[in-house]
Amino acid sequence: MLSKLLKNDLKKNMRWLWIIFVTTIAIALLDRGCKELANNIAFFKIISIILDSVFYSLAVNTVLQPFLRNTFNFTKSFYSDESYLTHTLPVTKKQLINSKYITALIEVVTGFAVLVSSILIMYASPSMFDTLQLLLSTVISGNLSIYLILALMAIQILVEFLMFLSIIYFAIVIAYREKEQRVLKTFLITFAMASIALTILSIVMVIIMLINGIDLASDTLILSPQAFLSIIFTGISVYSIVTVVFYFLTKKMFTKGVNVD
Amino acid sequence: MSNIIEYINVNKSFGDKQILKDVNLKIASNKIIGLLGKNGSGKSTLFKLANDLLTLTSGEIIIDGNPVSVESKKVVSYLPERSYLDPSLKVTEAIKFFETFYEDFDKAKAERLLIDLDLDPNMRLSKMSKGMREKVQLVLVMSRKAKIYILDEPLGGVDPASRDYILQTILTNFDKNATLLISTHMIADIEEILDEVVIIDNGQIVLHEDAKVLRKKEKCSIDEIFRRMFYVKQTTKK
Repeated sequence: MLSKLLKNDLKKNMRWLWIIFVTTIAIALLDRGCKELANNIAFFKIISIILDSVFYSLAVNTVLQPFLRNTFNFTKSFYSDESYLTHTLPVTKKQLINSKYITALIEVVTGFAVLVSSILIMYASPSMFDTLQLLLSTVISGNLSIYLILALMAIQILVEFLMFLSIIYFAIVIAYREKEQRVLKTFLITFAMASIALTILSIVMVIIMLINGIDLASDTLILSPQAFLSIIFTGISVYSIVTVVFYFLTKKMFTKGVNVD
Repeated sequence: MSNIIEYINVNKSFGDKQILKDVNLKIASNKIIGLLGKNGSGKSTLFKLANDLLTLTSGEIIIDGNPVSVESKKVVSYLPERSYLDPSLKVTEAIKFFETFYEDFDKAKAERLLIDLDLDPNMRLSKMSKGMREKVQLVLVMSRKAKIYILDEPLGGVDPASRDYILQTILTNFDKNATLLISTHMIADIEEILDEVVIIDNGQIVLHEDAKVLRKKEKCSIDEIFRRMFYVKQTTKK
């Protein structure tokens, strides 16, 4: 039954999301083509400038839309009129919540993959990576691959997104157990939980920095590769742990039952 | 006769407000039962608890020998008082959805009922009127071979001309071995088909009787009994 739910949830969201994803990639390809031709023909420069602004708005949406659509559909499926169908399906509450989490994971990861791919299509060149490597050497001593750093940073941002999604799901489940001021309560709980999570992360980060002998009072901060990797892995680990903790809390609260209007 | 649904010491509260107060109700199988009551008396709450849409404050609900769970949902076909289908779906897609999730769904019957009710299977629900969407939901619910049909105000949004036809659709399409639990304000429209009557007021069951026995005892229709019951109460309050 989980696979059926998953298929249904994915179909519902992807009906709109694939348009954004495909358009973003197409605009990136077109823009890159125009950029290549812009040196010789002025017309393509103008087109490229227009396409740039279209691309940026689409690029933001490749990440935001999966996030917003999943949050919206979570509330719609479980607490609006549609919930009268959702909760009466012969499936367990665990399957319902797992389907929403897996859908969100697939769509947010796909959104990120599209974003990264489209940015690479737009800007990737050996000189770009050389420049980035040069910039990197001003903050990280030693030899660390720019590709590895970019990949780790992308993963960290992705996990951070998933953590916020997990916190929002938890907030919705708690807030919608009550009958009144559900939206306000969702915002307040999200804010409180995110603040706690980020405070924990900050404390852990400071500890890791101190362990690595980083002088936090120093004006010029140059990290050793080992220190940089420790920090970024700590970030990814903390975000992942918080995501998983809130997933289990959400599942536990949700399986206790709902109160649909 | 065995009971297909049992509410045992059921209480439901929202904060300080108690919606259901120590409800004990046994619904025998193979019957048509009318759940009657004023607005806000707790009818929908009773139905929603049996369908896992609300969480019990205390007590227990047993459906076909199981607590409210996946097993109970397999045997209950529920028609709520509101539109629960995604408006962006076509009728055919809604049918596909039911076919996917309910093993007891009869697609051929659904398609036949759509024709009977003059509904276009290729039409999107968003393009339909409220009454048409309710008819689609009714078709989907009645196309399941369920043991229990719970219908919450099935005649609410339907025009008077279609009401008899809808009622006939319900009666001719539910499995004769099944139990039909129906709530409505239009008592006169359904009272002839009822085997039993349950009246709820202020979250408590105030009457549960065989429909024929009740009519004979009170020497009037159930509609009349209901009116008398609540008219007397209201005038007494004044």
